[in-house]
Amino acid sequence: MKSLSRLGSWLTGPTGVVVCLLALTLIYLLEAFKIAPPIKNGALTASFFPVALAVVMLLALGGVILSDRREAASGEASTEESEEESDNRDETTGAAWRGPVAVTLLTAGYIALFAHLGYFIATFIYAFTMTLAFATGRPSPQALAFKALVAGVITLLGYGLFELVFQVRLPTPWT
Amino acid sequence: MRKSMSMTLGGLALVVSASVAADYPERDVRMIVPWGAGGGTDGIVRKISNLAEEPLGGTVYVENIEGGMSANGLVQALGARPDGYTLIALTYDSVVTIPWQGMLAGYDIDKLDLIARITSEPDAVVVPEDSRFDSLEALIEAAKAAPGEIRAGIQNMGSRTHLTLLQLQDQAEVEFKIVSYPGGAAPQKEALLNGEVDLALTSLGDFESLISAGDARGLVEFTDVQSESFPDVPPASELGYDIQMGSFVILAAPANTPDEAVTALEAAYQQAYDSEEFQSWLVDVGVTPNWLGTDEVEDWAEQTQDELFARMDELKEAGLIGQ
Amino acid sequence: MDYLIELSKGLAVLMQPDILPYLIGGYLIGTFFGAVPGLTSMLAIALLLPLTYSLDITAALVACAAIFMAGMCSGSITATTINIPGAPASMMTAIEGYPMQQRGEGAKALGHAALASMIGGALGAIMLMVMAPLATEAALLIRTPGKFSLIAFALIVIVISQRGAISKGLVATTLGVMVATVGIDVMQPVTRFTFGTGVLMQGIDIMPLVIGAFAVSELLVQSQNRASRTVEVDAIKASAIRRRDFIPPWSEVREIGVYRYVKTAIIGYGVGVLPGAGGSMAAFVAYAESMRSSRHPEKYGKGSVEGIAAAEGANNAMCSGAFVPMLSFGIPGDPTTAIVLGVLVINGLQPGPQFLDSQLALVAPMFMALLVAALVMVPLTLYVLGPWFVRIVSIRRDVLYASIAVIALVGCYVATYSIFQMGLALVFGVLAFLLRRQGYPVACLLLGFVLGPSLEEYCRRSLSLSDGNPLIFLTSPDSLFFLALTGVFYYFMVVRKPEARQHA
Repeated sequence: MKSLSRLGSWLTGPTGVVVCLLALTLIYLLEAFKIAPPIKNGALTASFFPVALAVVMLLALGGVILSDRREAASGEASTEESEEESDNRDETTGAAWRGPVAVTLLTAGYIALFAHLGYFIATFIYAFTMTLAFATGRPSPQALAFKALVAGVITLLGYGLFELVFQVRLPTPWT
Repeated sequence: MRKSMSMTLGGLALVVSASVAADYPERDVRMIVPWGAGGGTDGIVRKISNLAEEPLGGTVYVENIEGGMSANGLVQALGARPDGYTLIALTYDSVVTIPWQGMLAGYDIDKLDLIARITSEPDAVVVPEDSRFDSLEALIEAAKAAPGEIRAGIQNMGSRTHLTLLQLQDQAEVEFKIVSYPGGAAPQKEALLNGEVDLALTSLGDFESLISAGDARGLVEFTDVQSESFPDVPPASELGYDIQMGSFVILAAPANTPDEAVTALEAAYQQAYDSEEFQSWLVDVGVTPNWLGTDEVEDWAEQTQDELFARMDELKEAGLIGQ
Repeated sequence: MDYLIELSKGLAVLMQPDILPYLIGGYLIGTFFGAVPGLTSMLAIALLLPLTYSLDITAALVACAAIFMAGMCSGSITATTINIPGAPASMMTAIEGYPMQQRGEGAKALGHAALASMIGGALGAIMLMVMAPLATEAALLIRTPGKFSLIAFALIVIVISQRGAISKGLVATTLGVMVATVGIDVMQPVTRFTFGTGVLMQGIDIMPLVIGAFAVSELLVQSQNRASRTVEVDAIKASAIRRRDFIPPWSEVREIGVYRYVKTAIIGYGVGVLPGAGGSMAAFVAYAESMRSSRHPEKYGKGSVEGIAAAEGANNAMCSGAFVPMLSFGIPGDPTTAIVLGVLVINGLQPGPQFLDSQLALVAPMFMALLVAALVMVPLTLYVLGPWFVRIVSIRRDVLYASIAVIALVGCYVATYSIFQMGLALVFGVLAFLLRRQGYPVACLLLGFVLGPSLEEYCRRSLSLSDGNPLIFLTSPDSLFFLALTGVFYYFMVVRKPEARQHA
């Protein structure tokens, strides 16, 4: 568990992101060549631009690595950074990761079940669980009831907006 | 015993289907337009659907699902329940380009019930007003004298407009410099106006605003009938070319849609088609009305497919298109 | 003279009791759609398109113009208050406005945004009415090589304006362009990067990217904090927002300067006139130019009112510019005007060179609607609804973010009818969240995505026109102009900057 979270921290840290992007670019480059050779009969093909992009990306990633090294070497954080950036840059502690992970999983669940459960049920569950994800501490029964009510209102408002006002078809379990 | 059972069942089935017919449409009918809102196909389909609502006795709402040269809209239509409440507007790309290119696994027009063809628009050659070509012959002559230099603007590579141009090149034995403008007629218009191309290849209806303003004119239409909206533009058949290419709008539903629904839709849309309002609107926008009902449109579509597939195969053999 | 008379008649028509409600209603709808993440003004117009059949065409056009103008202005509301731009065109406003909100200056930020929208929108509308034919002629001078250089210019400027993080800016921009290449190739019917799946053939729509990169990523960022309300609420309650707080101080306005407002409007209008460019490009180019010519470039990124003024002024001016090619030739300058074109066509009207002469009486109310929406509705809405806007922040976090999540995701579904694209929104949200944490500018990602396909299309077509000779970019005067402009910007923003710092 601990090594998993350490891996996670590294992956989402400065070098980890660069490495992931590098891997992505290489896959992209390989796929691009599979489409067609970049130049055929003297004319550009569909793969020319992607290949050029991949090259630019590799150079850019190189630039990032260099500037990160320079920063680390000089030992001072960049003075250009805004407050917001440095807030986000802080390594999130284990507890603070819970929020984003929860939101991600809930959203993934919502999307997966959206068509199967239909709009009303899926949205109600999602809205309710999201209010829990953004809440502090342990909610009391009254708070829970209130959140359920809020979730219901959100679902209804969404329905009103999209289905009634704009005549858009939201999925139902029986279509 | 068995006889009366089957009679009852038969009677029941009759009653049910009759009630379906009597009640259809019970809810709103969804018409998928696999192109952008505000475009040519969208305009035609919305106009006629609007007029068809009354004879149909229900509402038809249009959903624009664009992308993939109409593939996205097709995916939605194919996945919908064939209960008469989902329809789709097909154009050339849905009937020819996508099946031939194999862009949608398993798709061909037999997965759809075709209801009717409403309009057709032959492709044409359009030049700017001040062009030095005042007829198709003049253009061809100049092209022969300068192979690969006269710039012809088409839409996408491998598209219908490209195909038409290739056929012209083939039959006239000339070579143009082909410049492609994906994204429809709008960028073609711009290119013609700013002089980036010498001619554009698309329907006259697409260029209607420029033609009526006198900034552009048509040299030929690739069909065998003289157009009424553009009496100055001769059909290709008159000029000795056997090329009939153009787009069309066909209304369709997923395969196995109940007959009652199809009949009701055909009747309603035909009424809308015949209306004075629709006919005169078509003349205004420069599109040719060309009705072909349910019993004939499937054969026509298959025939068109066969012809065009053969053409495209030939051109592919000759190395002129595709990868 | 006749022209002016027609225009004033148009104004009179606009003020009629059966038309005016459409201006106001359209404006309010546009404000709502423009502000809420997950909805855009383009969606509003597309959804209302069927209703236009039953409406008188003048009313429909007036409503469309109002929605368009409103949508461009109101994106700044959520951008400033909750750091989620309601529209991509307000990305820069989020970068500058949100820090101000966090300092308790949110009302002032909104005021500056509104003022700039007002001025930019009004100037744009005036330029539309006065200069349309001239603008069209000028636009026709720019052909494909020039367009390529213009887009290249925009992208390069975007990257070099990320002071201190140019490499990361380049990474983000390139990533955006790469994402845009997924799907069917721009010029040939060939699929790219679809890994054999049918869904990816659809390509990646802009909605999931916008919703993911801005709304979802912000949700993820906010979910890290455990406070029950965002911290600023106390600060707001303490100062008790008064309506006067929204009026930007005259000293600040003067410092921004008339010249800057006018320049911004011209840039916005010009970008709008070019078909295919959009609000976000207009906002960005104006923002970059403002940064280049600013006396306090270090304030950009931390809450610069100049930046807000530039971005908001340009994107509202762009609205009017986009009408130019649409009305003159039937070539839409932007997705929203494409829909307006559809409205005209369905009503039997075909825009074209004669259109403005023969149908002036019909479009005059629409032009006036643009002007009135900018001059009157913008400040009015802010004045009346302003305090409520700022109070968005004081809604309980759980309610606020749950609502945003639902509307954003459902809005994504509604725009694309695809569950897959909803999933993509989540994927991009997570990606953007991780990138933001490491200082990669997400605005660059989006702009790369928006401009990438055009860049590729123009590049390939230019080279096809020149038979593969890359010198065409130097021999075409339009292209040369934009390349030179890129050089100028590079000089001012990269070469000279270090000197300035030494002097300071």
